[in-house]
Amino acid sequence: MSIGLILLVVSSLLILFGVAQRVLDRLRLTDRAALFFAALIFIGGLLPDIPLGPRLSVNIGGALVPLGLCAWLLVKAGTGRERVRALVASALTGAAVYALGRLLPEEPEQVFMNYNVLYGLAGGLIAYILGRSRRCAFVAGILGSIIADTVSALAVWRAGIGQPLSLGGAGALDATVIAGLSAVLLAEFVGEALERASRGRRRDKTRVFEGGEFRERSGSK
Amino acid sequence: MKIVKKLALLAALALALSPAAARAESDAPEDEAVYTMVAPDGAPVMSLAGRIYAGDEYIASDNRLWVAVEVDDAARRAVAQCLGEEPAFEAEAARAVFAQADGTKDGGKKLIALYSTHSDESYEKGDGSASLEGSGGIYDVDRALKEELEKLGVQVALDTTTHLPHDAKAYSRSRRTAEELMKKRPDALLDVHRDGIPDESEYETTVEGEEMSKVRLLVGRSNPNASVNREFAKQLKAVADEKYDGLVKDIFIGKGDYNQEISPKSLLLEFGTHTTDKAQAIEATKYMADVLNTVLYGESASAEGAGGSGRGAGRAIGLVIAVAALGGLIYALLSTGTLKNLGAKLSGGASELTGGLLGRRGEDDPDGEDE
Repeated sequence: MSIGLILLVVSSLLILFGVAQRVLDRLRLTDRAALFFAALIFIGGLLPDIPLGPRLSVNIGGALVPLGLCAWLLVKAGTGRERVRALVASALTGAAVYALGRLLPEEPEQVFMNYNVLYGLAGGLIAYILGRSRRCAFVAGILGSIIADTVSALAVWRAGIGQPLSLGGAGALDATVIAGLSAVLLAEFVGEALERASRGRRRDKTRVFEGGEFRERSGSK
Repeated sequence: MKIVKKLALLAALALALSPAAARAESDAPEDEAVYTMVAPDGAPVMSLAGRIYAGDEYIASDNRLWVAVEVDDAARRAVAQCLGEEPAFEAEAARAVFAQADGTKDGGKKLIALYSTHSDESYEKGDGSASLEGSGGIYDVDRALKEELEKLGVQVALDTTTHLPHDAKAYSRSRRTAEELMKKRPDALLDVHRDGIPDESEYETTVEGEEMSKVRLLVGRSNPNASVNREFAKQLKAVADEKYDGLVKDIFIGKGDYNQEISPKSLLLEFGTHTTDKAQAIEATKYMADVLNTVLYGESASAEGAGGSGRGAGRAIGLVIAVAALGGLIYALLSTGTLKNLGAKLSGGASELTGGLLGRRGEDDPDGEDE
């Protein structure tokens, strides 16, 4: 492989890694924890899948680590209501991703954007409508993508075709990871843009960002 | 009231999806949308089972480069401008450029990976149907290509995992297969398909007295490797034109990524169309195997001329970095609000990174998150 090709692969991976780290940083994670999880997703994606049955396997970086992160976010979610919202958003995203997969034209050139990002945007939009939360968007993107894959596989198995299902099988580049990350990015972009449009350049004096989340500033209502 | 609003928004989202549903209904394999590319005077240039967008490029069999400038979706017709002859790749240079400079010829491993995203694709003549779920005839073409490559001393990693159903998520599923294959570090990653245009005569050819199907090469331009993939396709065509004229039909460079960002040497190959006789598609694998072997491993492989793929890679790196930088800038502007705040933040960051050598640390350094 020529130096140019090696540089191309390395630079693409570095940028993806950077994006993943920055996105995870927006969840309830510290800088270091975000870096750690991004590394886990990338390295885990290169390891062999873990078989869970004759037809089912799970990729460490593509599904296991993101699922673990979802579980942690759900456990740490501030309220029971937030948990319910995240789960409802996941179910709706699962249905939306499955429907998009079935209904959109099958050739990638027929849709205006990358399918994998489109699934994430569906998750981000649904999560944003339901809860305006980045964490909720991440959970919806990841779980929604896994739900859609599972439903699809069940339909194929029911037709008597023993097609394997590898959850998150493409590792860091899997639709699952891309959906989770782009869902957060959408919530972030829409959220930032809308909030900025509504309050202009004024700073929000009532809240402070501490330990990876916003808290009411002490002394303010 | 709030819940009602949210439900209304979700319902609007569902409604927004319905046109896609309506369009997809007409996209059954037998009734696939076929677009025609025509010259400004209306003369037909090519047809494609799929949508053509303005900006899509097409390198015809005579190496003339066409660019779609105007698309009428209702008529499924794209008017294209001819930009003259695509700078040709000399067959001799092609052999050298993609040939492995790491001693492959001296006993190193030669490995090509094969898979088929659309597992159901089949041939009416030979399989009895254009689409067979569970046992698509396309895998016979895969197996034939594997055998022919192996006869030439090339190892082949053929993954026959199916990616059903044949829907929009097929490429997400096959990405997992492609990633698995990449762990074996193949020299090229090929996704084997058959086309869906109804006119079989477009794919008929005779090479060395044998009737066979032509092979179309497809590059996804919405991927960071696009320029390298394009060079690879051009080199395959250059060698095929020299050794087996008429074997490679053309190169279509269309919207989409086709998982080609996974490897700089990945391509989608269409062996005939659904109305082609499968035996003719299989016949073409013999010659295509030789072309692949020649381009990848060379008859006179040398490291000279490797600048060709380097140039493609350089452009691709530039593109990746430019997109990332633009995205970063938009994001930074959104999160800091003004250019002044952005400058202060960058200056603070530079100061922190260099221990105060560069930039200036702000007095009341806001963490920016609540800004």
